[in-house]
Amino acid sequence: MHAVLPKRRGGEARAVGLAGPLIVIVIAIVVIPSIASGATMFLMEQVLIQILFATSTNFLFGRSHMPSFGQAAFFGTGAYTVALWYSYIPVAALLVLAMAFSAVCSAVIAAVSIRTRGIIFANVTLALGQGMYLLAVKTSWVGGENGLPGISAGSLSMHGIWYLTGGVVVAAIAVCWVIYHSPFGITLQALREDPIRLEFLGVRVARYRLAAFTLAGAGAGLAGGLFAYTSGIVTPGTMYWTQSGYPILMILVGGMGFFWGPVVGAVFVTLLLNELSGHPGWDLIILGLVLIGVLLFAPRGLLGLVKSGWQRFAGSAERRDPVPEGIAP
Amino acid sequence: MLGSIFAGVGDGFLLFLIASGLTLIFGVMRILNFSHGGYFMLGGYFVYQAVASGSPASLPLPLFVVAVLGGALLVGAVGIATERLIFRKIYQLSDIASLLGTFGLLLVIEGVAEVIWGVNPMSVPFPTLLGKSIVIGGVRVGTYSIVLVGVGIVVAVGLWVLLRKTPFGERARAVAEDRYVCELAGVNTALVSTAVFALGTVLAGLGGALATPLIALTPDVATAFIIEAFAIVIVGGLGSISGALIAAIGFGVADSLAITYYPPLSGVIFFILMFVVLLVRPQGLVNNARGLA
Repeated sequence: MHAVLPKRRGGEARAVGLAGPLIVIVIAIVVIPSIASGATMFLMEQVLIQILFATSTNFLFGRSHMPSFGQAAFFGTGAYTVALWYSYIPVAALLVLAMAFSAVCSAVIAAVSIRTRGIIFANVTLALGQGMYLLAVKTSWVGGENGLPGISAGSLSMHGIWYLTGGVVVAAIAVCWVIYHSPFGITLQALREDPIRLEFLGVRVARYRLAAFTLAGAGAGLAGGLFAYTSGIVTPGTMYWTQSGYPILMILVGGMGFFWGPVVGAVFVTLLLNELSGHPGWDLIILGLVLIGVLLFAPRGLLGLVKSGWQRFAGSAERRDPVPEGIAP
Repeated sequence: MLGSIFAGVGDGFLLFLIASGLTLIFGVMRILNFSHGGYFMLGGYFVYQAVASGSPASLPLPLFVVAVLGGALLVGAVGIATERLIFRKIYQLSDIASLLGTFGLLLVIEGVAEVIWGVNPMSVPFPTLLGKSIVIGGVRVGTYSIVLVGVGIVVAVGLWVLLRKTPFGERARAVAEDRYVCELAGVNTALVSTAVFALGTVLAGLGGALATPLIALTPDVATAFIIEAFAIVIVGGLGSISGALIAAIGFGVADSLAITYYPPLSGVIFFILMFVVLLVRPQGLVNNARGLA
């Protein structure tokens, strides 16, 4: 499988690639409070949080082909950081702390897991993440099985929390976009295509893998911190291993080769889950079928379908950008 | 001490039932199967369904035996159906894509169980004669642990004979070694795959059926047990049945000792052991890159 090298694009075109979708998100954030009920706003907050969670996980899964099945653990460490300290530390500082603590935890887990590849990597991250979940269940000062309820964001009102979530997610997505397209991000992609050749070229592959894992953990921790503020309660259930499957599902549904793939997938999956929440059991059935369907019939995700459909419609063969690769068939 | 070790060996053999099926399927189809936990859970629910009408206080042993065997075979039938319908397509995907595909199937199976049986825990009592403990040579052992050890030994020996001494086993090992050459040699590899998948799911169903008196049955059982089974097959060495047996009994005994002497460590001990083993031997206990051992 040959590498699809990113085309050189001018600074202007790149800026449009970031600004266009981001403006849509910002407009949504500004408009929603005036037209939506409290329940809808809560749902939209969860959409934003999942956008951040999936986008940061894509540094591992889509960008560097490291299929971590333990990201929920780092989402959880961020959420628990907020739940434990919300009454002592101001919101902004605590979110930074949540991110930092999750980054440290993921660096420790990475030290062991990056020695492995492929399905073994998936399993090691899965087992270690699940170990952290069990630790949360069995530790009484983090509330054990019941978790920690009653989290508040100081003097922030419902709208305050909304703008906090929106602002943090937009800023984080912008930072992710810059990193994704930086020399570091491009190197991660090269590492996905051919790690051995990269090692021969003198790139310290292990360091890049460690950095990608830590970065993804930090993003998950920030998303978890926001989750604690918006939902007001953190339970160990947020760290259970199946929760790690959801960001991967979102990435696949949206299109793992696209920066905006996880964003599209997070919106789609979160809204779908909400629609199905009244039908216990069916939510899992539909979600499982969506996952199998994407793997078998649309490995490049929704954005891949849109892009190849558009190219067929427009039909200008010589100006064709390659559609980014999806999951290896 | 000895009593708790023996209970651990019993639990270990129970874990071996699910891990050996996982190993068989990985060995022959090269696919790590998340949904295996789903078949385990279905085995439990089939037994529950068979005995639910009886009085909760006593469960006659013959009924339990019939329910366990019937449940395991029924799970095998579900296994054959899913193999033909879904796994045929999943085999062709890459390692990671197929792992994710089986994760999707696990979600579907768990969802179906939730729709049929709900999320409230169900329980199945110990069958008559098997809920007690007896004293052998000064050691108090549970009769149910004796049954688990017995069934586990029969399955382990049976698998060894099946894979080493029968034409079917020869074919299964050959397909595990090199599927392409087997096809050239005229082996019906699709049929071997289906048979191995059926065998693996029967073992998972048997494990789930035998676990019913020991656990609270919920659809979550599928996701809880598959993690322990994964830890066992990774530690034992992917594709190695003897490695899975050693790892399963080791984990069972360690967990049982943890429950007796330091309860907070129970459950967590799996991941600590896995962490340590993988640090020392990343390839697992029994190295087995290709084929079934």
